[in-house]
Amino acid sequence: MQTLKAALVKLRGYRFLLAVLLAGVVALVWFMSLPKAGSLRAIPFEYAVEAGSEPIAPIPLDIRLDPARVVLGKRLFHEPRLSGDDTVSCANCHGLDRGGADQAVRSFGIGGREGAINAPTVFNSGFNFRQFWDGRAATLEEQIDGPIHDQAEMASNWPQVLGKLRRDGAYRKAFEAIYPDGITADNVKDAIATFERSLYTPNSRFDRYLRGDRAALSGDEQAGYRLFKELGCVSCHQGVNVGGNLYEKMGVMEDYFVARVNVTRADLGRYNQTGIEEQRFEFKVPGLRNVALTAPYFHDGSAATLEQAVRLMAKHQLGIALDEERQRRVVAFLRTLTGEYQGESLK
Amino acid sequence: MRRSVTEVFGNWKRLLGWLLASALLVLLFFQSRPFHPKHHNRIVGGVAAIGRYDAEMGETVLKQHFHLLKNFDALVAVSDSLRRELRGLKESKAMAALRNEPQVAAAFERMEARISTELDMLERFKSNSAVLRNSLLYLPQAMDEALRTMSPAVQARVGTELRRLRQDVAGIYSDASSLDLARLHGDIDAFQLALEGVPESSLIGLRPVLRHLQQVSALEDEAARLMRELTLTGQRQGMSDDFAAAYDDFYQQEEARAHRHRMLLFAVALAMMSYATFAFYRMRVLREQAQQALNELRNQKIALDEHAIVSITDVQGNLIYVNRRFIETSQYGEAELLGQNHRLINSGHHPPEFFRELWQTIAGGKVWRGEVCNRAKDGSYYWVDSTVVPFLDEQGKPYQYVSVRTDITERKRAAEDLELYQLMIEKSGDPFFVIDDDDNCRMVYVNEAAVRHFGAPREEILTWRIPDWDPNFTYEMLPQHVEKIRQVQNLFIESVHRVKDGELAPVEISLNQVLYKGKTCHFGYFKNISERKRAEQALAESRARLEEAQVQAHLGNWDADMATGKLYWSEEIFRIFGYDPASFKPSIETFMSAVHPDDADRVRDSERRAEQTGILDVVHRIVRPDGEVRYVHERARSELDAEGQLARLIGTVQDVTDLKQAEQELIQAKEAAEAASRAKGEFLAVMSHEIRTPMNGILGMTELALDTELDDAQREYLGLVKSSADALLVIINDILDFSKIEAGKMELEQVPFDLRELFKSTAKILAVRAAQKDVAVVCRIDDVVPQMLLGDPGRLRQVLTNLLGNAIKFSHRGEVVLRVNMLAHGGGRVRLRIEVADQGIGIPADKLEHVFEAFSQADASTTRQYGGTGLGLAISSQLVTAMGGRLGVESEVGRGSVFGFEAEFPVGDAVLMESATGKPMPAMQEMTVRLNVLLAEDNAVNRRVALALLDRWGHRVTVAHNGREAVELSEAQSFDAILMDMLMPEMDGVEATRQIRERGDGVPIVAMTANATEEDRRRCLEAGMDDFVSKPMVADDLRAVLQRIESHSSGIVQAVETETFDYAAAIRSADPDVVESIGHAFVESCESQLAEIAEAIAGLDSAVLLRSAHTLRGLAGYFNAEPVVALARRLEGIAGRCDWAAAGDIDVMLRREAMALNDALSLYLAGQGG
Repeated sequence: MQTLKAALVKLRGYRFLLAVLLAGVVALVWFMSLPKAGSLRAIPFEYAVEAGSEPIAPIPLDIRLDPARVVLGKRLFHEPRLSGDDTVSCANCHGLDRGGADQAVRSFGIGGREGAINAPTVFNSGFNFRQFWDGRAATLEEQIDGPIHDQAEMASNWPQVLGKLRRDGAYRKAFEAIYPDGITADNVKDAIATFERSLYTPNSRFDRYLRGDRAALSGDEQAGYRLFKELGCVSCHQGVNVGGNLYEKMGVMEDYFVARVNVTRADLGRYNQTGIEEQRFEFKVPGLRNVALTAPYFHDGSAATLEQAVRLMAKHQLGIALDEERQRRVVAFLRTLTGEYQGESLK
Repeated sequence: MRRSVTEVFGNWKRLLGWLLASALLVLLFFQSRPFHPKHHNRIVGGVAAIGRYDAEMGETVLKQHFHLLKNFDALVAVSDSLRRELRGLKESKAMAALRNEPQVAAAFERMEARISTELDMLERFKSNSAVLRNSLLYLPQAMDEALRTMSPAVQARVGTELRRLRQDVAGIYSDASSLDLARLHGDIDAFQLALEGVPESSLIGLRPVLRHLQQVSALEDEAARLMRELTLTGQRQGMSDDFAAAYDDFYQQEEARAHRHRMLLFAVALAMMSYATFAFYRMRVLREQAQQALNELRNQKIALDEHAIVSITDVQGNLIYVNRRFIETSQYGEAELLGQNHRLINSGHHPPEFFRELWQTIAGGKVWRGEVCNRAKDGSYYWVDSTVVPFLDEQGKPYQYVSVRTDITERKRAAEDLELYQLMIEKSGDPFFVIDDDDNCRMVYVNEAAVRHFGAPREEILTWRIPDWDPNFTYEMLPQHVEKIRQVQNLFIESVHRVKDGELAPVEISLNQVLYKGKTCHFGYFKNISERKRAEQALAESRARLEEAQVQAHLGNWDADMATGKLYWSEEIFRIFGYDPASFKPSIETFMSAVHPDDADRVRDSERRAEQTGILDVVHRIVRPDGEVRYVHERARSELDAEGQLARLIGTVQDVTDLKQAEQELIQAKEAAEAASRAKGEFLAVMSHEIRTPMNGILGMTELALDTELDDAQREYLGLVKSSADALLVIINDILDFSKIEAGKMELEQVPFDLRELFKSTAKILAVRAAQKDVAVVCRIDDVVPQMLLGDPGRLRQVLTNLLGNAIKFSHRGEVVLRVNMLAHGGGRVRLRIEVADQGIGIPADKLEHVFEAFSQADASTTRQYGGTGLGLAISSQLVTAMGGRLGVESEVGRGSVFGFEAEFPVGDAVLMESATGKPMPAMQEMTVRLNVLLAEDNAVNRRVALALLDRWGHRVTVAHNGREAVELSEAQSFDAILMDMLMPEMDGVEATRQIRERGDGVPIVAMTANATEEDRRRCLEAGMDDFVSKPMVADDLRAVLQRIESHSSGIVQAVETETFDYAAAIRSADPDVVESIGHAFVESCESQLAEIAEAIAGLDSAVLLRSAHTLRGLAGYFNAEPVVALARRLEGIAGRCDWAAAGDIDVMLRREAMALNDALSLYLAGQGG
């Protein structure tokens, strides 16, 4: 103790030198500890596609997502306060009990305003390579901006939305539990998008068939699948979502809009975005999962039934006049694409 | 704040340097940072990912193109990844950091555009390939359908081409790599050609085939182009290559710049650290030095504070710091000092100019030094040696004064002391000197006394060496002497100095060896001992005389220490006690053993008495060793110790054996004398009657005879008889009166008298005599004086007559005033002041006190001139005293005298008045006077008268007929007086007188002159004459002149002996101590003195007579023995004149009186002793 004290007393005379040396050491350590390499951003939505010989891949049975965000996203998804007059929630047009859409030709937003295009299903939207018919949103998060601001849909804006949410203590608590920065537009979008990504529907009969359960499909259905491939449907409707991964012109083999009386802006497709003439009438090829539950079909909801849709598609896209038999079998096959949500088959 | 910053950084410049260096460091630090590694990594990672996805995409496209993939998921995935990567990169902070790099940003934009383009192409590719595949899948079916349904004609025309096309298309789908577009196009063209001419209706089945073929044809070209574009084959550049290159350029530049700055930073940091280390080291060193300096300073300050008095004041002189010594020295408390002005301790010793000069100096920034006197709190002063240092600010102006002082009070005192010592030495009455031993005993210092001693200039003295002033030394002796001095540290010698005027003076020298100016010196003083030598000699003589006196007087002195028993004897005592001084050791014990056993008790008693009275006086007997008994008279004074015990006796012892024997004889003589005295008293009583009776007869008969018819001569003779008888009566009366008064037998009457009458009548009587002298007598009596008073008019008249007579007698002109003033009255009494003033010769001041003594006049010559018994004033004085007054005199020689007295008288009753004048005058009896007179007179008539008168008066007269005879006769024979005529043949009186006086003869010479002018008188007196009488001769005048001579002449024989003098009373009135001390000596020596006188008279030895008479007179004077004194004085006079005629008579009287004195004295002493 005594010697320590003596040493300290001795050292006191060297305070200045020691401080300078210490500063030097600290600076050196700081220099050395500079990070050598940056970490790449993690992919938020990961799923493994089972490779197979078939052009269609089954939906993964389990995709890991942050359950807290999913729960929060589900609440927000059903939250009418996202709309300008607190009347319209996401689920209004994308009812989970209505095949993820609204079973109407065009959807109605606040005040009963009518939208310009048929509402696509929210189920499996996470697998789409773009959102919206014209693919103008690259991600689900981007997509949310559309309906929020659309005067025919929710007719709101983020400050308004956030203001409402922030007044709700439950939301504040929930957000703060997940996000350090609490209620923000990005966080709202993240939560909703995460919930939407949870809306995948695996374990359809066809997926079971693809996974080797030959009995999962009937003979007709299997024949329908063969026809689906032989007719060339599969050229566009392939992949895990049976489509949803490319653009294609509506009316490749035969002009679709000639028959139409009036062509709306919505009918122009990607042209609206790019202004490229070639892309006039180009739309995102919709995925056919649960297609049996998402009538009416096409961007304009013009095909009321699946049979009608199949026939129109064969005519305009394949240049084939499909006979009844083949049409029936293809539809039979399409009906096997209905999967399960949270273990229960969609209805 | 400012202080702390400057403490750390030294000053502003240094601080600025540090700030600049730090700023540079910071700047360099930021400049030295490379492009942030995280960003770099991000970009590199992003570029790598893009490259990877680019490659992957190309691969996937190829796979897709060649139908190796069943769906577009893979393409979507890779394109998603690519797009996501690009977007991530674009939105990354790394790219934000590169915003300001235009080249990099441009490259990124190009990359972005390209990726966008390629992704668009990818989408087209996907759409294309989907349609193409669809067509390729559908064509074989459609062709098969057409072949099956077509007519054979058509089939024949186009079948071959169609089949070939079916082959092509089937091959394309199964193996895209086998696709030969040229062949396909050729085959299609061939098919188209084949179809020409075929009717339209037949072509219905072929129309879908044609449309798909057109599709395939168009799409295949497009697909091939897109594939080429999208794959990495060929010259295609990677999507990110351009950006990567641009970024790399940027990064390299950045890195290079950063590196440069890093190096610079390192260098600067190193420099700063080096400097800091150096500075730190220097600081440490400086701090250590500073600490050391501080320690030293502190020590110095402690030392300074211990040594000096330190204070600091502001510019106004107010104290802001004082140290402990300041407080101690000034005695003020610190609180009393701080804030106070320095004037607090101003002593007022220095003038204002002193402080003005001080302040001017220090206010000018200069250091002031000086010695200042300050005053402490208790008022005491102290001196300090002060140094005041002004502390200057940057502008060079003082802001503080630091004062350092040293207490030099001691030094001042020491300097004063030193000065005092120097002064003491320099001004000392004793001569001091310093001899330089090394410089051959040169004198190097002498003080003033030494300079005076040597009587030479100091500069000269300082070149002397010992032999120059000391004749006892020669230069040859010097080395030996020096050696001697060196051996003894101090030397005490007696030697002789050559002093001023070359005289030699005995000196006593004291030498001390000292170191002075680094040299061996001898400091010393010497003393001129001439006086001492003389004194020593005188002392030795005196001692010898004392010894002789002791031997002669048989008197020794002794000193007894009662405590130790030691006894000192002078030599004479040994002889008195019959011991040998060499062998006998006296002590009180041996003394007591020598005391006669019968007297031992008495001796011891006397010692006890001495203890109380302080005086031992005892006469006792001793037994000498040879058995002889002697009387000794011991007299001593005692000293007591602290307890009052007798400690010491100092005294004398005298052998009085002879005296003791003489005493017995004296007692007998005294008894005889007493009988004689009684007889004298009776004689006087008888005489007063017996003398007066015949005197009355003489006077009466003379008067009667004068009334008869007489011839002139008879009348003259009888007149002379009468006046002589009157004079004799006066003298007799005087003597009787005096005797009466002396004997206390004078009684005053108390009768009424008329004062005016008395005074006037008295004055009138005397006025007659005055008129003869041209002197007026004036009587002034105050009117208020009562007419009648009670008193003794006879005695009063006697006094007045005496005073008036004297006044007239001693006046030659002017007036004699009798004045009576009343001073006071009341209670039936008056106090009068009675004065007699004259304008006569006056009395010298030194004689005034003796004029009232008996037989005394102012001068012997006065008696000769004016005559008189000398008793008159004595009697008058006694009478006035008896009347309750005191006769006084004021006088001035040449101006006159005033005799006066005050007396009280009861106012008398006029009725009781009786005649005061009726009393008979006492008879006068002429006393026998015989003078041996030489009469020098040439005129026979004058000679006859003078001879008759002188004969009548009983004088023996020798006649000279001229001046020469007078001179010869006076030389041959002694005369009592010479009556000298002025005008004589052969030699006149003046000349004769001159010759007599030249011979040294003091005989009284009386001029006789007819023309008594002032001029004559002056000439007479100038010639040495004593008196003169005018011619024709007046008997009274001549008689008066002769009377004056008589009174001084030895020739007078007093007819009446003095009444028995009361020697006992006289002795009692004398100083007892004196009587004690010399009484015995007188008693012892009286007889021998008288014998000596008798012998001297017998042997006409005037010297011995003079000495012994003088001695006797001196001794008798101590006992107030006036008769003895008077007689002895007369013998002295006889001895002086060698006139032996009266000597025998006087001797007889003297013997008688002396023996009377001796008896009285012995009795007195015996009474004292017993």
